[in-house]
Amino acid sequence: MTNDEPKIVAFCCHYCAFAAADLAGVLRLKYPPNVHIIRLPCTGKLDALYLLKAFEAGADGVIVAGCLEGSCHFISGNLRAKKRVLVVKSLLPRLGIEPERLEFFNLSSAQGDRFAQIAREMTERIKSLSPMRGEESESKSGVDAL
Amino acid sequence: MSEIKHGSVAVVGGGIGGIQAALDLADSGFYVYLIEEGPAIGGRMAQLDKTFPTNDCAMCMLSPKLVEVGRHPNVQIITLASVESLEGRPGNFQMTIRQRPRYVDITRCIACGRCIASCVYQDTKFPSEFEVGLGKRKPVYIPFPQAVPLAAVVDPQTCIFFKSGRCPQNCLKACERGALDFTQTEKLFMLEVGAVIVAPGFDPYDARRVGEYGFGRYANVLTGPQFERLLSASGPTSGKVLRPSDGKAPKKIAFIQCVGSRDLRHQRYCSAVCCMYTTKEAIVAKEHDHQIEPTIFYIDLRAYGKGFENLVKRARAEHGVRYIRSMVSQVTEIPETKNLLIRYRDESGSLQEEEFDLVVLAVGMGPSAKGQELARRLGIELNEHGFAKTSAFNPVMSTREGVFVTGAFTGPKDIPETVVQASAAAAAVEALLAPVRGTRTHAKDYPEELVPDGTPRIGVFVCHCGSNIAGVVDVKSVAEYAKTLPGVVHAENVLYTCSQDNLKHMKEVIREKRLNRVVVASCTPRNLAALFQDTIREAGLNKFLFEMVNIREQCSWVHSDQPEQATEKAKRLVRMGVAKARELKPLSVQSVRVSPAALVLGGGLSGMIAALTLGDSGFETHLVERSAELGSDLESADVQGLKAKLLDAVRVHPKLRVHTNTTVREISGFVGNFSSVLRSPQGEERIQHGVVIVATEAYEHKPSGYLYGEDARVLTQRALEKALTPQASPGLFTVPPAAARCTVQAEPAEDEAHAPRAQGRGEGQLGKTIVMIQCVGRTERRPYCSRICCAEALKNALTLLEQDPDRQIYVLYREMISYGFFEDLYRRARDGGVVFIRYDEQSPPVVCKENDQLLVTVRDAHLRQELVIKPDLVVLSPGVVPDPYNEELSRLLKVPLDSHGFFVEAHIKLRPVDFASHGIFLCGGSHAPGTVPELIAKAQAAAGRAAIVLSRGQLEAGGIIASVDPEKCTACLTCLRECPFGAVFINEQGLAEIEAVKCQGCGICAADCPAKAIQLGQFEDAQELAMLEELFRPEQVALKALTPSPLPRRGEGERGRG
Repeated sequence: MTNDEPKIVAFCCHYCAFAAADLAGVLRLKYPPNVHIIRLPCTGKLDALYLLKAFEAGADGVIVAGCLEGSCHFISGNLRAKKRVLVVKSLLPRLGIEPERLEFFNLSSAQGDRFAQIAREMTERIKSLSPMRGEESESKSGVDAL
Repeated sequence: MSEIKHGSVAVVGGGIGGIQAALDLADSGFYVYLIEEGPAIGGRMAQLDKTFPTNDCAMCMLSPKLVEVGRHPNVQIITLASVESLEGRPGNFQMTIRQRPRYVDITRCIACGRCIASCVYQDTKFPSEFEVGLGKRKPVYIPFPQAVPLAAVVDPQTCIFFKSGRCPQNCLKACERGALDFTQTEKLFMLEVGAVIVAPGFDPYDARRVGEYGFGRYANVLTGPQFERLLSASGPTSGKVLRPSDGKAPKKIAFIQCVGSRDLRHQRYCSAVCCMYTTKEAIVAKEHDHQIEPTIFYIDLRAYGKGFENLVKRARAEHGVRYIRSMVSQVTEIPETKNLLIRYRDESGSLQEEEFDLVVLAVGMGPSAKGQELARRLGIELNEHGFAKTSAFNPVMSTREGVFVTGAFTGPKDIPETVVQASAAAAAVEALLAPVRGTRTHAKDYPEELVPDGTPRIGVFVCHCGSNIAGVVDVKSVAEYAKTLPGVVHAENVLYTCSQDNLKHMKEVIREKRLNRVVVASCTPRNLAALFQDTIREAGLNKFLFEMVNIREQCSWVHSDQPEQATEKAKRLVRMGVAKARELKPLSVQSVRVSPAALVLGGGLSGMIAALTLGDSGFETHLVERSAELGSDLESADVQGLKAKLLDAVRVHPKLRVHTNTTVREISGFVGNFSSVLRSPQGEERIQHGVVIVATEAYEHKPSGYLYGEDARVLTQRALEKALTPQASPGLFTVPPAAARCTVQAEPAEDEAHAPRAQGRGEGQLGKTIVMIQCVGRTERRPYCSRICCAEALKNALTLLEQDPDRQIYVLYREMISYGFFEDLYRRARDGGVVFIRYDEQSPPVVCKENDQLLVTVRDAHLRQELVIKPDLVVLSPGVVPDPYNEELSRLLKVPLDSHGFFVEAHIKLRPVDFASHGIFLCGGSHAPGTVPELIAKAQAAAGRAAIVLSRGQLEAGGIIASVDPEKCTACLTCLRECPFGAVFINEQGLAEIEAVKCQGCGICAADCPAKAIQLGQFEDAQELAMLEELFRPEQVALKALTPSPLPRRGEGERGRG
């Protein structure tokens, strides 16, 4: 990762978002290589702690991507995840982190282009923000302060 | 029984119906040949963008099924194949197959697309079948990105080599795998099968034949299936709605319904799905582009299925879709703008002319031409509409014994009905071939698992995938880098990790280097993880000690313009994979014995069919009915024969135990192992069973108002049906032969007939003038369409006319729901002089009495006039309501009911007869109202699905499931509340525990647990957090900090929290 590229992690559910990312590849679409996918069985598995840990570890941005609403393979996992993301978003300012750095998306497995677009847009969005404040130690104390 | 020889089945047609039938059969002990005419399975559903009424993404639902059937050890997919002939008898058929050459070896092709890129045709030139002509392809192509089998195919019709023999054959040279083979020839071979399921689907009606709408002449006139591709994110316009003529975004779009349907010049019947697919397309188009103004021109709006009405309401109210009840007579193009002029008569009767940017024709479902040819070869008969002929009481049985038919081949229908019929056909096959179950399937033997010692010894295999990965990513440096990572004892590059020779090599390396974890860095785990897991299992490793890193779809293919960054990313991804691998634990899969018996709740038509189907398949079945007798829902005259037959069959069946006057007091347990207490006047009895089928029915609602109950001349359709003499009535909801019954004298023209007539003299006890009122009491509380009432009214009207052609019958309706072949009844009723008067929802008809003369007042929505009719008899269609007992069953079984009291299935499209809770299935009117054949198919399907569980003997539980650490659990009940599958229970210690068999592995409970007491196998917090930390660890720090120190212990830092 070059220093000026924001580091982004994308938590994707197996059935929709991860499949959409695969489709982006099959269609040979392009998005910046600083977006890394961690596969979850369902975004319902996403622990709020992962989001905080991601920022603590040094993420500049976090994408959470689940199925379209009503289409969750596990019925309600994406709705649970969305709630958790909203809660963490509301906490981020207290840690000195802009809430825009975290976003929840719904997409279907057929939306390869949408995945690529999300990856590009989040990269641009985070580039437009001022760089993340402080070093790891500082943000760590921030998490502990919660 | 000696004739029943082969435990294998041919399923002809690889659409959603064929796929479902194949999976059901293969999962219940039969070997399946899935024979597909085209180069890939998936059928029409693969081409859809969304599906109604939930607007779910079609490919998201279908793709996992494609992969599942493609990988199933007991399914062999045979593409580009057609049936030549079928000899023999049920249980012992010989089927001859002709397979056309693909010119590509699918065992070698990796779908990289190099052959396509190197083809002498630089541009895509030929219309793509998958894109319905809107997109183009080359002579060598991959049918669609999610195709199964995922391999290229050469079309000899367009390939220069085959046309002229003079082609440099660049594709052959470009293929790094030597997969292209132009020497392949047609093959003819024979399959031995015990039964055949025929599922060739339908052909969309050819819009060119409806000349007045200009399809094929006007650039901006499309068909519904084409528009679907425009909406698809992976379609020719990447999901942008654009006009073919100029690529501009259209604003005004007109949808024209019934193109080729309900039309004597074309197809007489109603295509059953178009009203809904158009509504969906209009909504989705609007969602894509808010500027779009959709208008739908329709004759009757047939929103008769579960959730359909709600979608139409939303289309009107939330999306501003304009519905105009009018038949469009002509579409003309304005040459300058290529806009289209539509002339129509509006609801007030005046002629309108309106300009649109785009016109979409809702083409109907025609019989499949290839299906008709197939029928000839198989020796099965077609009906008068060109679809497969079936019996009303066995909707999946063809005219040849042992050959079953399913899906749109039997008549127009939507996806869930197709899936229901597919499962029903599979159930029928299972019953036929029960004696030879399991004789042709394969089970694989694995060596005993090595007990892993604690220290990770990780092997990393970095795939070149030819040049697919290696052409962008410096794979050698990735493998070198992997060697430096903690825990890695072996790393190498492989040209193709998935090739047979490498899989063998991988097993050798695992043994030689005593690997206890394997990481493969190659393509997406969605396709091949199962293959690699199986390979390490063959080498004696637990299959969960495996991690796959996607450096193709999610790296080399999306970053081909930045090779250096792609290489760095690949290293980071491998580092993350290795970090996770270090934390992986073996997971155990336990076998749980299945109680080989079924409990069927509800002894109506559906319950009896389900129980008999299960019994015929060899499973002991308890049929529980809370009233004193079975089949009490079968009231009408034309099903009395069926009722008698079913009662007899149930009584003598050796596998069935009937419990009447019985209710269920308690059900506990889970799939494979339920235990229930049945209560009857004789006392209580506990039974053990592996599955439950809920088969309660729906009943005619008891109307209020309309003088019902006050005047004997006002009755319901069901009561009328009983009063009609049996011998004269046509078969229930089947289409009786047209010829004999159309002798009724034509009545005066409609306008004249609208004039109210004073009859009242009443010859015969039912009288001369009869008014039927549809949609009685359809209010806010009961806002759904009951689906069957219009056909019931039509059938009874025809019977009344047969008895006395001088009768004057009026049908007052809101929408005439004569879907599918019921349209014939509607036409015959009109021809026979029945007067149809449409009323608006807001002004329902009023029934009153004047000097003992019944008076019906109705405002004709078409004439905008109030009419008064003086009938001798008023017949009400009050719709159907679900069994009130459902509420109790819902509580007992913990299965959901919708707001109207109908049960909610696991998935409205692809799991129509399953509940989300495993081992519990549903059918009957309490799932949704349906006609007798529809209910029979659902009951057979539910039995077939249940038989999958029962046929296994053992169920596997475990693997990727959640488990609770009793030390940490505080019994806060969060998991119990949040689990969508009811898998959590409170154990004897008062702590949460997860029923392994019920857990689906979503991890919702693990994430929600405030005490962090729940972990999901393969996705433990320590594993996920290790990946996160590795991702963001600066390179130097990673190496310096980790190499000298011993392996980090499992996520201690994270556990303390909470």
